[in-house]
Amino acid sequence: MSAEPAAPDPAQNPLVVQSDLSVLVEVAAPRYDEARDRLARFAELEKSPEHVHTYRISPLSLWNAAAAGLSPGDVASTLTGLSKYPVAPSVLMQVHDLMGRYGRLRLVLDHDTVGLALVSGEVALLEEVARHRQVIPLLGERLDGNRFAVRRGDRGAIKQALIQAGWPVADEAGYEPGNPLEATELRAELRSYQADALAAWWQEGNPLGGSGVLVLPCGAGKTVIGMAALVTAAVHTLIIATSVSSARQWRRELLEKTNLTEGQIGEYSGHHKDVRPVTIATYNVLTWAARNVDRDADIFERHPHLALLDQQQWGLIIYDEVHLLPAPVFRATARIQAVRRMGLTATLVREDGKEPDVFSLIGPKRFDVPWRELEGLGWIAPATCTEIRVRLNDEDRLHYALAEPADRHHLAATAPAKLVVLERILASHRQDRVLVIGQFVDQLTRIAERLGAPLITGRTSQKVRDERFEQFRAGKIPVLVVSKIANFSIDLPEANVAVQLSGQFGSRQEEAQRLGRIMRPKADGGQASFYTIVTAETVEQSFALNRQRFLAEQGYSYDVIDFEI
Amino acid sequence: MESDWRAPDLDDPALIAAGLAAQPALIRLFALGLGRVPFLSTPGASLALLVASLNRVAEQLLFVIKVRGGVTRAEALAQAPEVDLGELDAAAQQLLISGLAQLEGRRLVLVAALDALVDTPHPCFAVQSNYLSSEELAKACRSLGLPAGTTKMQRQAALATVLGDGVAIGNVLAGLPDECTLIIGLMLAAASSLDVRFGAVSFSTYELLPEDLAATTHRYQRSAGATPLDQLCDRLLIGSDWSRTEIWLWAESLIGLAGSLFPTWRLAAEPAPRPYPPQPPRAFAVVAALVDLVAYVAAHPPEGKQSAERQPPVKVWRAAAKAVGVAGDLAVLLGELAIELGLLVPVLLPVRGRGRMAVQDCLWEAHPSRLAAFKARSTAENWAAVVNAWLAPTVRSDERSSVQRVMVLSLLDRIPAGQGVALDQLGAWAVDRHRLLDTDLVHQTLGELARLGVVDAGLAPPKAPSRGDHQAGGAAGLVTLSTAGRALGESIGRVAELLAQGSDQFIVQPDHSIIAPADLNPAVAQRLGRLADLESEGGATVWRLSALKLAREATRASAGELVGFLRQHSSVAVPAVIERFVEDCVAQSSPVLVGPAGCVITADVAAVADAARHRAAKLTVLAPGVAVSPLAPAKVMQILQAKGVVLAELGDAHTTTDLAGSAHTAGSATTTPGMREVSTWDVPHLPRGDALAPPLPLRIGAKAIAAIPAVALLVPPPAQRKKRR
Repeated sequence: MSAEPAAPDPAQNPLVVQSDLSVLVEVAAPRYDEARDRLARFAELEKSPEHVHTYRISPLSLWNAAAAGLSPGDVASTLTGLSKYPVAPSVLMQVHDLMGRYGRLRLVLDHDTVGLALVSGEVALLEEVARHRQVIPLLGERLDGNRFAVRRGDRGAIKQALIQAGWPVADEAGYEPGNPLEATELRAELRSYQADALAAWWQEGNPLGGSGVLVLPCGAGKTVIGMAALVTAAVHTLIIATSVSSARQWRRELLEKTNLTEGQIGEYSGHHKDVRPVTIATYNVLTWAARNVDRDADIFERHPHLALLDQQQWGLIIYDEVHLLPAPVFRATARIQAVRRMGLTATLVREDGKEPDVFSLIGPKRFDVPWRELEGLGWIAPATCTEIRVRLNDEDRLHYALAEPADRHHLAATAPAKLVVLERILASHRQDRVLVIGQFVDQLTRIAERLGAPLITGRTSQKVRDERFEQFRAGKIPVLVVSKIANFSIDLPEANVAVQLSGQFGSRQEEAQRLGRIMRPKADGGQASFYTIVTAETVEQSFALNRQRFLAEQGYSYDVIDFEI
Repeated sequence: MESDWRAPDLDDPALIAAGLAAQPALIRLFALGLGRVPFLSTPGASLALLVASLNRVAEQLLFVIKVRGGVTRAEALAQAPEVDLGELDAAAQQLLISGLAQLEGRRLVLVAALDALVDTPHPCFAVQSNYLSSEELAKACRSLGLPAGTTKMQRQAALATVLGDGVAIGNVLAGLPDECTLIIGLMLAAASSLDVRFGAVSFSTYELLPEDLAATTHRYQRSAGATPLDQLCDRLLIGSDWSRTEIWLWAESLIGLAGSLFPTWRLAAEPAPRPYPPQPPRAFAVVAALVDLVAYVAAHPPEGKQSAERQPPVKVWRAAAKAVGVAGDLAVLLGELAIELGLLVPVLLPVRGRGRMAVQDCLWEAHPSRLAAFKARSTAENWAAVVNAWLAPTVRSDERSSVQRVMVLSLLDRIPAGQGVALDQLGAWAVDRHRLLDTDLVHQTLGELARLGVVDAGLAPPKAPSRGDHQAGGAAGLVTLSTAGRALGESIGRVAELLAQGSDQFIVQPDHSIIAPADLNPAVAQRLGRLADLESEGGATVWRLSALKLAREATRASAGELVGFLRQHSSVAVPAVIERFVEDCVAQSSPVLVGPAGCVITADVAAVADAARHRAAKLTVLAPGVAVSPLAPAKVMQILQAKGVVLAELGDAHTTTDLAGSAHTAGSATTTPGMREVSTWDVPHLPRGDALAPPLPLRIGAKAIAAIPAVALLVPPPAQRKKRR
């Protein structure tokens, strides 16, 4: 007779479930991998420092799990089965309560009206939501006891409103197929996590998938996943990028890694207005506002280029750096909910707190992976972060003390001592490719002149930008001074050192994105160095603390060095 | 089954404790201060409070033995068939130990001296008949066909025999109109639905009787012939007032007719307990908060009205709470207890006004020796002292409140360890068990107990709990005695043991979070609470290092000590970024007081406090004897002089130096004697060779229009002191 396998010792379990619905996961616990995989289905990774990761069970995450077919029992069994301590009954009760709300309202295609209908088997519930202030204007005629008509254009808005009312609707209206894109194939091989991310988003092509956000570190190959989605869906695709440089980068990648031809790819920017089966637009051009048009006018009238979203039979829209999605694009996206949508970002941190809108309009977060984990697997370069503190001299210190609060950030950020530190850093990285990044153009100009390095700012023409980026990639320029235009989507894989001279106040995502510029894996396997120079005992020091939060939560730790001249 | 009551051995503490088990409120109440049995013989013991603090069974048994002139155990059981025998015996033991009853043979009887003092809810014929005339009694006897006898006592005895016998009453009613039986029936029905513990029971004729029957009470006066109600009252089968508007059943006839004096004896079932994970003790946090509050108030002595309630205004505690990072409600509670414990005492200020208009204010200051003694004791001892101060009667809470608090505690004590009961159920249960309690009072008491750490109350999920927040953690909607509260019921030593338990290790992470086990040693948790904010509780506690708290803690410890504490208890290496963060926070905390100031006045403590009372001068007391005002010196002087405050000469003018380095002399034209002017962007700079310490450097980054080094504001030489009239 074989002995029964011993039940796992709860003390060895990796989860600690808190009464506020946060879940702590001990990374060193034996069942960590299992716990991570199971948790990811219904909780959001909030932070992942070295020892204990924190996940958050939120209404959104539970509704997302319910949408993916998970039951409250599945969630409860994961929590109780992997928890080190007994799970508070109130936690399980909340899970049951919240998940039980999803799917009781459904948004379906109504064949009678050839529009949409909000349907529920519970008349009382339908009555309740029909009286909700934000839902009322979005409901049309009552078709019968269990159905309300909904305009197709209000599909996104009603989803937002119902989420606010606490009754998330199951969107079963499906997607428009879009114009097919023929004979497309991906020439690159997907890494395992890229394939997982794509599968989590695509959901085998059924209506439960096809929309959502993928969160991956900079340099982890989000563009490749976007291209794989394009190939998988095989439909006309609109890609929205942050800048012309980024758009052209997408174009290069598409040409290199798919069998799309130049004629199939169009650029829709301030320079070109080509609409092709695969079109790459920029946020800037889409949000361009026509003059002499009232602010309250229809969004497509005020922002005429947004019509691009509705102009073609797009089957897929890819939002690059979705955390930057501007408000007009949000509003336009609410009207095109019948198109598959993919959001890509490294930092789903919106300083304006609009994450729920991203959930409702682009879709739920489908995939997230700790940065350190990919670093451990060698998919992104290991990075060391160093904060170097400089001090103001006596004169500047007094100047700072007497300055208006609004001017203090500039004074601190442009402290002359930073230049001395920068020179020392460059001296110790003679063999490396260095990006010098800053916020203030006057400071960057002075530094570029002093170093004799090329400068790229918002005022630099696109042609010059492209040339300089190309020279940097080719190794002809070892040091490049860039303003905040290089924060996002600039692929400079050879850069392995970044020196941040100044930043946009306490922006967490900016700090992370700047580190991301140097995290592309290096050919020689070398590591990246990220320096941030901060003026001590000024507002910059407290900004730096806040800026570093996201990276600290991802497990990056800063060495702090005092610099004395 | 034994058929007799068991006499308690009043010298046997174990037996007494067992006897009081059903009624811990009593033993807690009396044993706390007095500890003598029978308790009623203790000087100062209140009979009314003692009776009111009995539970339903003991109280009803007391009334029964009064009405029946004593009962055997079997008779008592017959009266209360629904009650558990153990509960009945415990009730009897209660009465014996408390000194309300005694044994006479096999009967439990009321102590003779209390016969006239214990009032039953239903009037007792044996007592009330003493107030009736002998003729009335004789008339009733004759109406009932009883021998009237020759003495009042004989007539009382004859009537009592009939009233105590339901069959005899039935026979009498058979010979009376049917309305009489209806009236008795209605009174019995009404009595069966009343909770008689809440006072004497009588019924309004107009509310109880049908309209036509009630109307007859007026239509037929005695001269017009007896109404059914008259017939019952004349025969003394029921009692009434003169006008027949209030009627009542005699306690004896109620027993004769209904079989029992009370409709129910059963205590409400205890609420079903549900699992409640033990929470870390908060005793350390409570004691630390108390010490912090006292220290803060000592540094900023508030004024109080000597003639009023002898306590500082609540806003003082609220302000102190913000300053030391304690929840506001806890601060108010601890502030009152600090006064009860004698840690804060009023210091009388000079009398203002004359004759009947004379007012004497006071300043609340820390009592140095008591505070030192308090700090010298262990946390367990201090926490027990705080809880006992809360339990005991005080100036602001009378003995009745004290009993009510003890009652709530005694009920909580019945909840098994590791389990909690729903808040609403607990309230209903408490009210049923003790008539002194009501639901609001129970909730309020539980709130205070939770703040003191005696109760764990998962009243609501935490949001942003501050130190001492009583709603942090636990199972939502449940309450239970905390582990420390339970231990306090045993001994202070047990509390001390408990406070020494638990893991002392946590994990410090670079994102400023600290993950600690739920059973983190309370001393460590308390220290951690001084450095970090609690973010969440449950299987573990999650903290986040707080720049504000670290800066505050810098007044007590150096950066090295704080980092050392983290290193000592972190099971992983403390990240360098955290060490640096601590150092930065400590470095940013400065002893320099920074704020707007138009002028500074210094004088003796009382004079400055007196001057600061005049709000128009906008004086803020920075330290004893030092105040600043944003107003110009001349303006302040004008205001104070208008109020009768005379300012003495300061002496030499002072030199001030602006930050750009240009020096000028202040005082001749604009500086008022007795004040030092601090104009915009000027830092007072004393001449070289002055005995006072040089000013500290102005901190960069602070938003200020002037910086006043604390050391420069020390009390000036005696010659410069202002004298009060």
